[in-house]
Amino acid sequence: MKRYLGMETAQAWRLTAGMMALAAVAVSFYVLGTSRAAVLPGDINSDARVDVVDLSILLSNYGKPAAQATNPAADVNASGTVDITDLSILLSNFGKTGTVEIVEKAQGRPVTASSTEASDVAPQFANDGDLSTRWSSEYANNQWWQVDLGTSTAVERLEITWEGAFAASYQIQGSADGATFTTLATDSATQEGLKTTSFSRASTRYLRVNLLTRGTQFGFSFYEFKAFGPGVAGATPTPIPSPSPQPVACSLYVATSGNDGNPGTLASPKRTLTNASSAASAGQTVCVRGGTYAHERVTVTKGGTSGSPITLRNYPGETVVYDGQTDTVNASNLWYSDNGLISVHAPWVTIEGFEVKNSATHCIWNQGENGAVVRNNKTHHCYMNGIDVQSSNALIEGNELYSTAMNNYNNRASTWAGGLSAGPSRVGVIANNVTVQNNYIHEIWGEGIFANRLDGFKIQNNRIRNAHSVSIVTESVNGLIDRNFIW
Amino acid sequence: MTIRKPAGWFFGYEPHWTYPQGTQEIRDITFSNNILVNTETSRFLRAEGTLTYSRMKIIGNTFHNTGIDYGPMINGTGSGNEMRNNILTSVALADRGTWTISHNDYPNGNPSGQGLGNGPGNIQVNPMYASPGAFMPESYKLQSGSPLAGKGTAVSGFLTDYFGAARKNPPTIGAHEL
Repeated sequence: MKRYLGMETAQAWRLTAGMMALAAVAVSFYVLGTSRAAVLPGDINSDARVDVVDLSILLSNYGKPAAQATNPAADVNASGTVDITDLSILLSNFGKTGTVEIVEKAQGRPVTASSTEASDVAPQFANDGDLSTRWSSEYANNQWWQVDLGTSTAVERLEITWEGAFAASYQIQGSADGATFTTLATDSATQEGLKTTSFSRASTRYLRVNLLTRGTQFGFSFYEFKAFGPGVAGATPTPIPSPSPQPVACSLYVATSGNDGNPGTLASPKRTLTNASSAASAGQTVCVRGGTYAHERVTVTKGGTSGSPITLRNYPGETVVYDGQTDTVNASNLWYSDNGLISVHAPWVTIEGFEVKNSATHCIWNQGENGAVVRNNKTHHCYMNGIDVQSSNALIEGNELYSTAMNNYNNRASTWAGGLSAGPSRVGVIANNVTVQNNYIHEIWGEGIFANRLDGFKIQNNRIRNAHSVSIVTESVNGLIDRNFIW
Repeated sequence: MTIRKPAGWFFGYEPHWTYPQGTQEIRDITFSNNILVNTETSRFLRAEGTLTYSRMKIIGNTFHNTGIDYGPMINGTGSGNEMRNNILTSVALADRGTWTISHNDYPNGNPSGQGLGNGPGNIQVNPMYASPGAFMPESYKLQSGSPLAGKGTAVSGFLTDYFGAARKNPPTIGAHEL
């Protein structure tokens, strides 16, 4: 059995050239255990066995909301109520035992934070087990980062590996419902590196680092957050459900190593998406292999049909970057033009899974007039709009847009573009049936969402933050604007 | 990075814009279950001339440290306009016209001069947010025991809250159904 040796120090340490240089004097060792987040479902009193004592606790709380239970762990599946499902789980594990050890419980669990400086330092990078990635907040005091342990979980020690932007003071807080928090401990850091905080064992579902004051002029940032508490070795961690990936059938391929004279197979891909899209037929998918396509403008002139669109997307699991290589911060007078780094001039075309950046005009521009889909892309540093769709029957969803409308960077222009724009292609025309949903739009030097001349639209479940102008503008009729979070 | 304090939303039509003109109508839009925090005041803007507002519904939103101005009632009011079940930090309206305004919470007190707080079901209480101040919708959930629970009024088609939970009858005021 593989075991892990932990080391706790009072100050930061690092490995250099294979040599461990310890800055601290006091060092203690202990066994961490063999698995993360190990629990024995039904072991309500955390004594490493599911027995009549656990059954008694559950039955005495049967029918109660978890918040009113004598032990919140009686709500075994954390559904909010101690019910028949909890009893069933307990009975299915009745008689099982394990060995209590101190184990890590936070890695890979769902996380959220008060803010994020950029997408590559998002909250989930602080509990991914990778010390080369991190979370970073915006540059302000009073931030927080929290993890959902899934169910009421015993914890007694935290380890935070701080980046240079450490916290001068912070609190460790726990919560049963993610809304009302109790402070478990207070602590402070003085430098980059590992910081351990121990406190009286507490049962909590949500753990929050409430970051009060910064140690630097930057925000708050740490590489890893680990939460330790008693667990049962050998038990199976509660699985984290994840959506099943949908199979993608690629008809044609594009790669940085390809050639437009090639047939476009996986083994012999084309070089440009412009060429591949012209070779595609209705209902086919063009998959672009990972890599950066620098200073390449894509023009799509061939469309699909209703029910059989042409889809242009990243090869599943690979990062595809279209980089216009325009310095949009220092640029001036590029202004308006009817195209983008990716331009679509045909109906029923789907653009999916690309990163599009540093565009001298718009980043993604779809003037196809019908059936446009723009999904799960990231657009940033666009001189004009991040995404501009001029189409009926359009769907714009799951995209992240930031640093767009850079023509107005630092408020240098008198007029500006925006983040996400939806409308018809021509003056005198109205677009119908347009849905804008689940997008994250932030740090925009113009309007966040601009819905112009639509009749029949939905703008829902979007998050919009820091738009220079108005977050949602509609000069349209017959629409629903629902469940958006605007800051 | 804070670019500028943005306005929350804007419905309307600005006839002086040279960029492709809008629909030149303001009608049949439902603005519901949204959470707006610290934005500049949101507004309706009238067009020049005889434009009216019809069947506009502002239902069950949470406006924290923000509100509405210019008023949905300026210069011409059509039928079927409703503003219900919202938490509104501020409201500044020129004329309430024929709008139906009811069951809103004004935590900072009655909007002055409009009589808006006098409509049926309007109250002035602390919503009791969970942890206001963070960029996270959950921070604007209501604590159990919030005085807004059950203080709204049933609205046709108003089925779920921001978080996808079913609305009760009568519903909670604001974007979170308790």
